[in-house]
Amino acid sequence: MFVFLFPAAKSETPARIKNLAELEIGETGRVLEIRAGDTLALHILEIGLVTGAKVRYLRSAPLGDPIQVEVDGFLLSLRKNEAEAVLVETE
Amino acid sequence: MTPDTPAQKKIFRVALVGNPNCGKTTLFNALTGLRQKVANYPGVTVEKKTGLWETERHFFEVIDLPGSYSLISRSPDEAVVRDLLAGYGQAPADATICVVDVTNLSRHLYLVGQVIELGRPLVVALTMVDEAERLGLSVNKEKLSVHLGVPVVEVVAVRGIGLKKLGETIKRVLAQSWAVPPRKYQLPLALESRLKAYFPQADATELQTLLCVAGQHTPVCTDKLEKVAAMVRGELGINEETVCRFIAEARFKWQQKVTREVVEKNPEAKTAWTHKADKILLHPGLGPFILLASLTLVFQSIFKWAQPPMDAIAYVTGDFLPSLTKRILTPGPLASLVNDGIFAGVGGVITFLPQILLLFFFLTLLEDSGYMARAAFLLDRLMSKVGLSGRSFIPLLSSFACAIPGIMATRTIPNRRDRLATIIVAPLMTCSARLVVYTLLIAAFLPNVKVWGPFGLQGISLLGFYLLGIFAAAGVAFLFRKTILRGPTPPLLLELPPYRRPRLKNLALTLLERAKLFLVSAGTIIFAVSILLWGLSSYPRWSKIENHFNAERAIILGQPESAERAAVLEKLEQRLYAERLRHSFAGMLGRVFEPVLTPLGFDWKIGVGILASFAAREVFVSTMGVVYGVGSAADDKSLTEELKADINPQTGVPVWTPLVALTLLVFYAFALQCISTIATMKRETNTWRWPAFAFAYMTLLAYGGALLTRWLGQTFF
Repeated sequence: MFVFLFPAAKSETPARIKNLAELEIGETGRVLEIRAGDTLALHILEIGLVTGAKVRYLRSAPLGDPIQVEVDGFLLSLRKNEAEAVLVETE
Repeated sequence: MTPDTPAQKKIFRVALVGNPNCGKTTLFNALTGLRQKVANYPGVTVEKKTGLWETERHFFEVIDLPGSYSLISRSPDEAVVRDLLAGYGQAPADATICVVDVTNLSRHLYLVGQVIELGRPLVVALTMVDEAERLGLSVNKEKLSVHLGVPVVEVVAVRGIGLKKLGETIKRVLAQSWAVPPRKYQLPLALESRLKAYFPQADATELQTLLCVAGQHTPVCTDKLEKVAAMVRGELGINEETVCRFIAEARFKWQQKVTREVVEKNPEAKTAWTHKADKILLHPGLGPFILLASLTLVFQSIFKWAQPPMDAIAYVTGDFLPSLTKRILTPGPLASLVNDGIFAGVGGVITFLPQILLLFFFLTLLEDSGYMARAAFLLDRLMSKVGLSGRSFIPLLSSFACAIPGIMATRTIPNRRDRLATIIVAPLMTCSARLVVYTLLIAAFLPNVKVWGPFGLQGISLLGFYLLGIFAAAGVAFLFRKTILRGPTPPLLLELPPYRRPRLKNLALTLLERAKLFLVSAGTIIFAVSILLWGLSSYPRWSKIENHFNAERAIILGQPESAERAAVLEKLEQRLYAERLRHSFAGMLGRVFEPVLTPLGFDWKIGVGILASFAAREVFVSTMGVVYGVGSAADDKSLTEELKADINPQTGVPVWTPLVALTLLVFYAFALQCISTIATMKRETNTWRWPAFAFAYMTLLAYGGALLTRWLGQTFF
């Protein structure tokens, strides 16, 4: 009975929706949802990557991972693994 | 009117909490200044920093809690924060100051929201107000105070602005009565309705019930409440983590709403300067190069700048004080204990104080400026290859000076397995005590030839031993993360704070605190070990030896006084030392271990040095001085000569060949010969299991490595 309160993940995503790791350098967007297990999702939420937050992809570390993003004016570093769980609607 | 003396005022305990990088430490230092002390929380291994804050009318004990994002505990640091604020297992703090960086208001309100729900006296201190002003950002603090239901005070800690008002506000909230406020955020409807329906059955508040449903197993959760909570979760078909996530999402919605209403303007360009700096410092090519260059500079200056004060300390404890005691005390056991035991032992360790302080100076500088997080960012990929994360970088870097601060710095690693792996490989990094042994042996036994350009064989060998330590640590970490510490790679969610100018006061206070901690440990553990070692190497005294030397001394003293006689006399005393040591408990122990050491090419004298080194590595040099009868305070040159001249009486070949020195170097590179490190490991892991394990694997590694070195050397050269 509780299922329709938490809609299942859509199978296809429109072109404007990417995960955080897929953004180009300098590309901005807004966080749509965190598609991860609850423990990781809570961790991501608590640091400030929440639905509606404005994000900008800045750069990746010299060896390709982790990446640096700007979230609502502060700077955050996270691995691509975790960034893939963050769905972003690009602007 | 005379101000009240401290004794007449009631001392209130005020806890200071806030997110990492919110300016909490600066506020703490501004409030308490020099009246700080560091201890550990009972039962856990988190450092407890407290300080006294005295104003004209109030007297507070301020407790500086570790920076945390949330009261939902993931690391021992966060558990400490929760338990002290809520009063789990102890009396709660009388009042709390929640420090909020006003330029990061929305995010930092997450912790504030959780602290508010404890229903205890609370004041919110807004920091970085000056920075916000510069950015054209302003916050309506009256409105914010209404939203939060607690007083809000603006402070500029470095200039002392707002501190008086903060004190008065705390006094005011202490006098008020506090209760748990109603929840401020909306949860999904299904959860809301279940909560409303069930909480009266649990004899608890709605909020307590919610926290219990979310799996926050606090002492408030009675069996009855747990049962109700399980029922709520069961009916909704969700687990504890999902509830936590709902709460977090709901809280952030509330925070964003509050922020929208109280912040007048949110400028985009607030991190412009940081962005520019990051472009260079995190550049794919330049970034690693700058990191390497700054680390090189740090180490170069540690060795160069620390030398003069180290020499000065060595002079005071090695020459000046002993000569003083020789004048006061008659020669005998007491003078020997003071000079050869206490001054030589404790002095030898205090010599490292300048190096440790310089290292902490640089570490604090890197940390406070915001660069340390960037170093972790640059190196995370490399570290994750061996199963560690960028967060392990700082502790391992510190271990180059000394494994003790390195192990202490692992507290910021939230994942338990990551932290343990870092702790048990940290002693493999080349610490400054190893450097002492390396320098002696390399200078004595490796030829000083140029290899390429300005680089000589000796310098390259030294670098080689540093690299050996790093690669061993990487290999061992990899191995352990695949076996005994196997587990999923924890996420790296690392905030990169804006670059800030380090504050001199913070720097000075950190250094003072470190110096104090180090000297206390040198004054207790090392003091005791030094006396023990002195006893082992001076006793028992055999009357046969003593009589023999007394007779010889009498003959020499019978000759007319001259410079020559003094020299002969000194040589005699040195031989007496060596003889005494040979037949002392330490000498006996060394010979007991000789069969184990022979395959490595070591004799009993080296054995004594190794055994003594288990107290602390740097003791090796002074022990060799004693064994070879050149005196513990002798300069390295005479010791080097004595070592080279030593011939094995059975085989007739020199004891010290370059291969023996190399083997010994490899042994020292791997062995865990440091009582203080072992004690720190015990304190940090709260069990003897991990230090025992580290000791075992490192000794094995050292012996195996040394054996391999000898075999390779004999086979191929």
